[in-house]
Amino acid sequence: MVPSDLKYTSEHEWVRVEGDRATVGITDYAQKELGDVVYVDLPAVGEKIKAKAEMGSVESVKAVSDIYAPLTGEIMAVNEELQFNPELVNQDPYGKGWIAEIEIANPEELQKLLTAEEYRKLIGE
Amino acid sequence: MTGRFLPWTAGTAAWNMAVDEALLTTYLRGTAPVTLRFYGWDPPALSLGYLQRPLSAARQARCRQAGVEWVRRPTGGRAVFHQYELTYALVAGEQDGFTGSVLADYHRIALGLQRGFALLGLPVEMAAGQRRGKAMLPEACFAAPSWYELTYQGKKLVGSAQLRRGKALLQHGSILLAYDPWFWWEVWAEEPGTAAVDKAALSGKVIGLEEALGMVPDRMAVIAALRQGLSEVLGISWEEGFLTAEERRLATQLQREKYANPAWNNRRGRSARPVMEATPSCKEEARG
Repeated sequence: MVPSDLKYTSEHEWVRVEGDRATVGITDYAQKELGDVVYVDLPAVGEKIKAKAEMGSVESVKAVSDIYAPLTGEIMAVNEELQFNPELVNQDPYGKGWIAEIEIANPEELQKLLTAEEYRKLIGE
Repeated sequence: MTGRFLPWTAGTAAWNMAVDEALLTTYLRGTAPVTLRFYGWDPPALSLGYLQRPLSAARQARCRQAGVEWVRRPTGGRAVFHQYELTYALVAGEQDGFTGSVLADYHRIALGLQRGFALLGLPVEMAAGQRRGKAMLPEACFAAPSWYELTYQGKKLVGSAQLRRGKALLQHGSILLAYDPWFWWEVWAEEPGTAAVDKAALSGKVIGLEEALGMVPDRMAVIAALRQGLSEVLGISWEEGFLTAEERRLATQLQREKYANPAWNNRRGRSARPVMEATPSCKEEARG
């Protein structure tokens, strides 16, 4: 499942752009590869992040995986619900399983993200 | 395919973790190949999973009193006590046929270890696992077998956990040479809300090689068998090697700045609080 209205990274994050804000999560493909998510280590609100730098991590039953920032900017909100219900990442990766909202600092970075079609090719769908 | 095999050494908790992260770093930089190493812990140590709740002040005090170090691993999973055991670390990546799904990679490595135990004459089983939420995860790694973990007569013999970074992985695993529950009874337990759970959870669910084989295992023979099993299943010919100068430098830096640093060992990911401010609750205990 790769929604056509989103942008993607090769590290399996999705990005939904609305104005100068971007909502970020991990893709359906990524959550399936990870297995049951048991903990999400979120970035802090107000934190300045750089594109491609680690901004948090997801722990599944057997592994910790880094989450990379798809864009440079400031964390404006995080999905606090994941602290209590991390399984939302598995159940609804593009909806209730969102991870963070970023205020976009460099809009030109959006051009470097993958389209849905490019991401589908990457994961062999 | 050829990989690097690092001969067994015993190190401090901080040094062991620093070396493993250095191996993953150089692998990702392309300056080191797929690497397998086995090692011991001197002095005995407790390792916590990367995102596990920090060790309480009371447990820290009891560890100090017992001469037990503690360290936060870069890998996931739960608490492991390292004394009468053998730890392995495998650093591999996409080019070696890894970094598919977490469970698929686990399965391949578990098959290699299973083959190794078969070479020792031990027919170990592979746990089927089950879907588990955070509330069902015990704090101690050996309290429950997870997907593709190795058991003997239904008791857990090996506990493993991964860190996945970019297109590479570091997998840690602990193989019990002998199961002696003293640490869990005398150091880990006696904290409100956890003692009864841990005692009940661990009792009868863990086995060491000594009990399984009916003899004291020879560490080097175990390593040789597991190396051979992983070679056959992964298709990697292990050649004995050593840490490069780059890895030694990196490990020294990581040891000093990260794994020997209380700021790392007493935190939990980004959202961790200093351990003295932690207020344990049943919910947090269950989350581990």
